[in-house]
Amino acid sequence: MSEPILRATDLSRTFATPTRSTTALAGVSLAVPARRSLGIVGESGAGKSTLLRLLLGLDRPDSGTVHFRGEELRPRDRALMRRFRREVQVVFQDPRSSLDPRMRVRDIVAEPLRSLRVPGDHRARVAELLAAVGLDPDMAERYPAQFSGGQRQRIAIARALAPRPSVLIADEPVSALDVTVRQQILALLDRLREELGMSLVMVSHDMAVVGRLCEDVLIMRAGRQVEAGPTREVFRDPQEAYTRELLAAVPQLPGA
Amino acid sequence: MSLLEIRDLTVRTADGRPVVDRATWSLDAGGRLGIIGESGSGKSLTALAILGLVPEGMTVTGQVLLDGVDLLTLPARALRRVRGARVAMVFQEPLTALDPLMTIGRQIAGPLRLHRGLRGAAARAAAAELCRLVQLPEVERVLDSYPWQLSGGQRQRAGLALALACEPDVLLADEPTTALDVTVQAEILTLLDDVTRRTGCSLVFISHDLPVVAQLAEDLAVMHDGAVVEHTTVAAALAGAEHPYTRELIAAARAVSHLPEDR
Repeated sequence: MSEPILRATDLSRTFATPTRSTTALAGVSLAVPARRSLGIVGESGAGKSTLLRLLLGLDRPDSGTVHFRGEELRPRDRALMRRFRREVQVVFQDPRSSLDPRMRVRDIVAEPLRSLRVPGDHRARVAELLAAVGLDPDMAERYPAQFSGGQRQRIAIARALAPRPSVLIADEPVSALDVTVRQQILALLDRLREELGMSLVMVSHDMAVVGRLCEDVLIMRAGRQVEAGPTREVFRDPQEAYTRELLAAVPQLPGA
Repeated sequence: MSLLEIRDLTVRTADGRPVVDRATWSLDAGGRLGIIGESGSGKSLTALAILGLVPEGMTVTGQVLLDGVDLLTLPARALRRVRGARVAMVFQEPLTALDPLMTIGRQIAGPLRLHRGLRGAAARAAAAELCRLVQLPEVERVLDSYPWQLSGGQRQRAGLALALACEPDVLLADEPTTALDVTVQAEILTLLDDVTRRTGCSLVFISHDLPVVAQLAEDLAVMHDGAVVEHTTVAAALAGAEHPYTRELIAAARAVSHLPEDR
């Protein structure tokens, strides 16, 4: 098997205060091959956010490594980090806080193109991106406040796609959205991943969302990995009691 | 006669825009009504209007009939005797519903004193009994704890104990599990089901999450843009909803919340 785009090996991270220390992550490993989708599931305190920060190079592990295309991620290696940022983009949970309210949509979407110094006609690229996420390119002149929650998440996705990443990392991308909108954004993410041949890493507390979008799943609890594998197999035949508990806790409509 | 009935309930903002628009439904004694809708549909304001707690500047018209008495026409003092005692509420975020400066024991003792005249050891014993009803562990420790010393699930149990303190006839639960982890949500739903059955309390369960509503409620009121677009039973809605918006909600819930078939 060829080298995955992202590989995390035995990551641990402990946060210490003078009086006590908390192990947020203990020995978690994962791989994100090209064009593959991975769901990271866990409840509060599972270590999902810590893992995500390490995967994004926003924090350094106490032990363990993150490799990007075979090279160890070193935040000080600026050339490597620039390639990394271009290839690995992120969409956050709440588009209200992740979009700068004082910037026009066209500037928000073009921002990664500018900061990563991507050559080309940025204006044309913005129009193309807005169309790709189902927004009218004429909306480029507006400000985030003029959009609904779902539209704002589309803007955040357009921004993430701007530098043509090979991996899209999404942190609870639909948790803040209404159910009918949630459905549309999930369908959009699924379609874009397929069309653009991206890998997707999605952090979620929702087994149903992961079951729908992700080929692989990693289940976490209290900083440790509980179970990992192809989603179909893990869901069909969970090996761990906690996985069964999570599956049983998903409220289901009677009579599908 | 219904226990609680709202007729043409309308809530307007200061500039006259209706945010709840002629909402009408009824709830029988011991019944369980789910109000489902997305953000801005007016479901929370409906609950606040029932309790006379809409934000300042908003106006409420229509009728809120509790045993045939219109709560909207009651003087403030009489309404205070209803609120908490006959109609109580559980909120989404128990941290905002619970007073951060007061122990759980003192908070639960508040309504017990106000509505049931219990004081001192009698109030403490009744509060402990309520904590056991909502299956809080280590009751004595919990009673002496401040809200921040409890986990999210324990806080919601404490919020429920507080709401149940005066044996209300109707419990309004506004997204009571939305802020909780999924396994904790499952526990709280089971608890709500159990407690309302045991106490005979009627339930109005407000949520954006149809599978959650379907688990707990028998009747359903679907809200969209302030209006109740469909008022039916959960079973009938799932078997074939009349309103296109209800059908859309059901389809979205099936698509989003549904686990793969071949488990």
